[in-house]
Amino acid sequence: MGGLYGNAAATALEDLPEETRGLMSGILQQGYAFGYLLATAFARGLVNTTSHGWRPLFWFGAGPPVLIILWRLMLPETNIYQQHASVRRTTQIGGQSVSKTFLLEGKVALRRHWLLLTYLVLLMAGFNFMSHGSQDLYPTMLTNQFNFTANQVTVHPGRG
Amino acid sequence: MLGGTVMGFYSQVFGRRFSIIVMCIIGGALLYPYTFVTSEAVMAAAFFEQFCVQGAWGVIPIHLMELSPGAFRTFVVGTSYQLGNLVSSASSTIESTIGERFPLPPKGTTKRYSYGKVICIFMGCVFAYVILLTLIGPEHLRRKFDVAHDADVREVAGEDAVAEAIRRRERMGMGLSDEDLEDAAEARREREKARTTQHL
Repeated sequence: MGGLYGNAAATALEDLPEETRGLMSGILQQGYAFGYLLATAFARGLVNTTSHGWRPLFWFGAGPPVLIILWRLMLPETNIYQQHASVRRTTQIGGQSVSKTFLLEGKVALRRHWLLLTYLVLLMAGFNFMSHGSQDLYPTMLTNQFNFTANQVTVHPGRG
Repeated sequence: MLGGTVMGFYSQVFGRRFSIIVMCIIGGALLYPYTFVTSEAVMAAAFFEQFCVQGAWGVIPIHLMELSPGAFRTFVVGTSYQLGNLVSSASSTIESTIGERFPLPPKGTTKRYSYGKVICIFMGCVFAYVILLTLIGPEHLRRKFDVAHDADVREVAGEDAVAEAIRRRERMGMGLSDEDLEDAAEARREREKARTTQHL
């Protein structure tokens, strides 16, 4: 998931004109919430509706990635990626292999930006605490403390 | 789902950090109705609370992209997200542990806890933490993502390799976008600068 998230964000946002970046970032992130919504709908339809229990949901879940793989295969790399790749190829002329340049880039980035990396992990911990903290126990609160019925919880319009 | 799109859009104007902080403040203000209204009207509070949470989240993909170094942007975005997720997987454990301190009269054999209070306390701390981190953190609104503006790549590959790569991409007929033209202009300026310094 973490591997996909970074690559998806880069593919979606790298080549955008500056003015549209913010909006597209928001739309990209909402895809996440929309996915949860779809998952809830499919879970209602596929879990415990056959004699196989929860399994049909996972059988179904194995399908979309195949479509995504095919779709991604047909699309080119981003311009920014191509620029980076051609710089690496150019350094090859100077006798430095592509993989060595790549590793060197990683080393330089780590040396220069270790503080930033630490900061980003801490920030993302805060953001994940924000979404999990406000959502995970919320249905339990509604049923356990406020005596809501299961149906009242399902129609709950979370994820504003 | 509205929050992320709206706030992502506004973050372009008001800045990434400002948008995140505003969402955290409003989200913090809405915690009381979110966790203490016991009737069905709590749905309204939940909608706006989640608008704030998702609003702050909507800024995150581009904020991370603009902050991270060019050489491994995807790695940084993915890893920080995933490590953050790892840390926060403890959140429901933490919340139910705090919950045991606020018991309610049981319903038959089912134990009941005052989870509303717990979520309220926990989220208050989380919002404060995110506001603090965002305040002290950097912001690179509208940072350029191309190699010509990437100091790390220049250090590793050298100015010549970068300029050469950009020039070659132009010759290959790939330099048609505005960004590529900008790169070309900058490469030309740099070549001229190098030439004048040679003459001096």
